Amino acid sequence: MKLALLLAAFALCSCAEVSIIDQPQLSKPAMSFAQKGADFSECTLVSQLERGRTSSSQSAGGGCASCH
Amino acid sequence: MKLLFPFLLTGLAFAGPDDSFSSIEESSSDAEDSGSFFDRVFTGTQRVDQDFDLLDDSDVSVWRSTFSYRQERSRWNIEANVGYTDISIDYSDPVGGTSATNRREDSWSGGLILGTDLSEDLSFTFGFSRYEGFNNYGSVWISEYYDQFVGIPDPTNYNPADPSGSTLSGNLIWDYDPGVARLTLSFSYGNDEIVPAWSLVPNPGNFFIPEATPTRSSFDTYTGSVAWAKALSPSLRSQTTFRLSEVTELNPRFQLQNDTAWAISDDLTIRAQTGASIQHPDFEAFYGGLSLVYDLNVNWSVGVSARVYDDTGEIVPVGFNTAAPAITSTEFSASLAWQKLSTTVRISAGIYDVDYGPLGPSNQFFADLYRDRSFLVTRLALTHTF
Repeated sequence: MKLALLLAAFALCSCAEVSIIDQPQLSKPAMSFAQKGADFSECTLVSQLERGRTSSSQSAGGGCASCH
Repeated sequence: MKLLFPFLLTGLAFAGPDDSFSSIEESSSDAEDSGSFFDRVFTGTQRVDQDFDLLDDSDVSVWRSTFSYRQERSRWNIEANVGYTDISIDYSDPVGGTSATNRREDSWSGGLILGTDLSEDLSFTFGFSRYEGFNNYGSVWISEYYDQFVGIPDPTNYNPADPSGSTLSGNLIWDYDPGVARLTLSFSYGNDEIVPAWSLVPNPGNFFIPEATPTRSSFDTYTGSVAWAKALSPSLRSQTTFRLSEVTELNPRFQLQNDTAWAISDDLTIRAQTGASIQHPDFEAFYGGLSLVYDLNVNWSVGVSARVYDDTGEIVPVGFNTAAPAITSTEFSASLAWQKLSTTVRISAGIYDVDYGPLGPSNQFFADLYRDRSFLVTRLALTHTF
């Protein structure tokens, strides 16, 4: 039931009209998916332990035979 | 000292073309030509990013410093980056086949990305990156084990690891509804020289002295992804990414990830990330996280975030292996950012807890590498546009 409500809310949002004049909110650094530098707050080094979350194209990164 | 190198680059970038021009003017008679050269090179919209990352526990410490410079002109953009990583470990072996020791390694990385607008709504980027040396503490630990366990009995045939790698990548970006919706197709090819696993096998020439033999050390990685980003409302943006990667001798890995950002008000933004990866025969990973960013005023903002990651462990080869067991990790962190005009500085810190599952009898040698840890994670980053 909760999931259905969540999906319904999501569908309503997706129906909203969005145009380029909505940029003030949408262009805030906190709304970006390509954050880097000072816009990004997460320590990048944790990726060496979380192999299933890595988003880079690099594979082993100098790792070991089974670390892929 | 090497860690400070990227900061020196930042200093040069902040000095900018005018400062360079001034110093040249004082020392050279043809200063005007040199100055115009710098003006021609350093033009357009420019940006520098400087990051300092730390992952630290009692027996493991990893520092990474990166610097990047980006320049945008009418149809072209270029980005160059350089990074330095410093790793220190207090190596130990609970089984006792090797001796405890301290080891320190470093590595350099660099990359170049060139982008161009193909049309009003279509752009393309092409990049190359390279690294030399160890850039994660696990590989240093495993290398130390083999240096002692195999390298000491058979120094003739054993070669210490010398990791390196290169990656070629490309992105095709289609802004089919500019500022509102974007589709990105990405591909990459990478080759890594990694730390191989070594074993001592019977030597046909001398029955009493075994011979050191490595496993494969060169791996190719092919990756392709599709990312679809869309503004679902004037305050809600979502991106879904599907990624497929394949590494030499392994089955393909599939990854699906969603990122959502919601501007609850002008000052408050909430972000969420969920994702999963699967790889035959038995690798699965699930992760998710939430973060809140609040603008205190025009100059200051604060953020808090929490996330969790869980996987079933690395693909385990038959017999003795170095594979990590199942892992569950959680991270809680906070950040503070200051922004004025075109400069932003952010500092963040958190606790990163890592809980490993039980090891098997075939990888007990690495029980100290794969022990539960509570890392301190920090990040200091600076961005300046001009």
